[in-house]
Amino acid sequence: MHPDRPALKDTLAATTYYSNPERRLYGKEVGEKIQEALKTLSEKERLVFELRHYQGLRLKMIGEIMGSTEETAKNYLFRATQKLRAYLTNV
Amino acid sequence: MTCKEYQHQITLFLYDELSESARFELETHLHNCASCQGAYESEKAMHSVLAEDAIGWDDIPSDLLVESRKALADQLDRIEKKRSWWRMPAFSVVFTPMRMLESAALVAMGLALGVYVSNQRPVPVQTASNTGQDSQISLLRNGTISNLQVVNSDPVTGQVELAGEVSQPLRFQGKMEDDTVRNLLFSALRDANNPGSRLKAVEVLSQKPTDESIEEALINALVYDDDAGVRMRALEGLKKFADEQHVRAAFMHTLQNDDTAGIRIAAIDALMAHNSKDPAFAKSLEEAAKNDDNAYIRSKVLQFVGTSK
Repeated sequence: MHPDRPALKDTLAATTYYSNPERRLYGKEVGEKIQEALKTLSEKERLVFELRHYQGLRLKMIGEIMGSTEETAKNYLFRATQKLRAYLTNV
Repeated sequence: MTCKEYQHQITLFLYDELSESARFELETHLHNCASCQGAYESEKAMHSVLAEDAIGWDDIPSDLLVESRKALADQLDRIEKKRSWWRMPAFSVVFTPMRMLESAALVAMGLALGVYVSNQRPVPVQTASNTGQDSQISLLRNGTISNLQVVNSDPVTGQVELAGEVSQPLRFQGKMEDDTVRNLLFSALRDANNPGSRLKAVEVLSQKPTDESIEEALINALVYDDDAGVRMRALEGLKKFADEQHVRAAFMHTLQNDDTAGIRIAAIDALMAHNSKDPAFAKSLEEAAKNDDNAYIRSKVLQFVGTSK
């Protein structure tokens, strides 16, 4: 890691990655870390997370798509975000 | 509600998935609890990072987006294939094609989910004229209706099409050879929210795993079930068939992929007990387990390889 580059965990609170090119580049690196973190999720956790986070589907709909319930989808989303946080704060 | 339960709700809060009353209750609690407030701030920071990443998706070329959606569809397809043998709607009375409901998802998710939808079985539409009055009354009296939606409504003719699911109380007895009994047990295996029900089903199916469909169900439970107890019971049911090619393949998969060391140990013990010590098999076993983090498994493999030469 570059000595001047902040640790990922220190930048989690920052919300303006794309305000300038340098931040945008760093944002891209963060995006890559997120993609790595997504690989640590189970198949269903990742499915629920991607449908909710990137596709914007409601958990009720996701539950129906999975042939399950909204409650189950909620649990998978919760577990997914916990795992992502654990992974990303340790990077 | 405990702090842990409130913290569980923070994720849903940030995704705007809480009801108004739950949101109000959580906000009130956060105002009065420093620990949960800290957890909220941390979760919110993480959410912001993830949200920025999601915004970045707007800049992605459309062909890449299509590729990603295809990958997602493949993933859905794979999950569906894993379940396909037990996704039989024989015991769920549905008024109109499930495909209708899935089509709504299709519109929301785009082309990619078409793969998933194509794997669903159509459910025949019942109409007031082709369903006996007695059975309709019985259905409405005894069944629990859920997810009811109005698919079509014509104010001129008064014709309405409804889609939903009806579940009814059930008591059934019969022999394991009976298709209905087996299908009911397979249906229990698909109960994602009830590992106890799945475990019982696996226990019963393990009593007579001579039928090919039962063996396949046990293999699926061994490989795909989320619950370690269910996987272990399925493995025990399959043990005596560990010399058969497809069961052996499932056990090898378990040996390489199962998170629970106890199940991997049971798998390797069964493989070694029911297979001859020929060098080719010993080599594949060694390959499968050489990097296992469990010392017992590594030593058993070395012992097997050593005596097979």
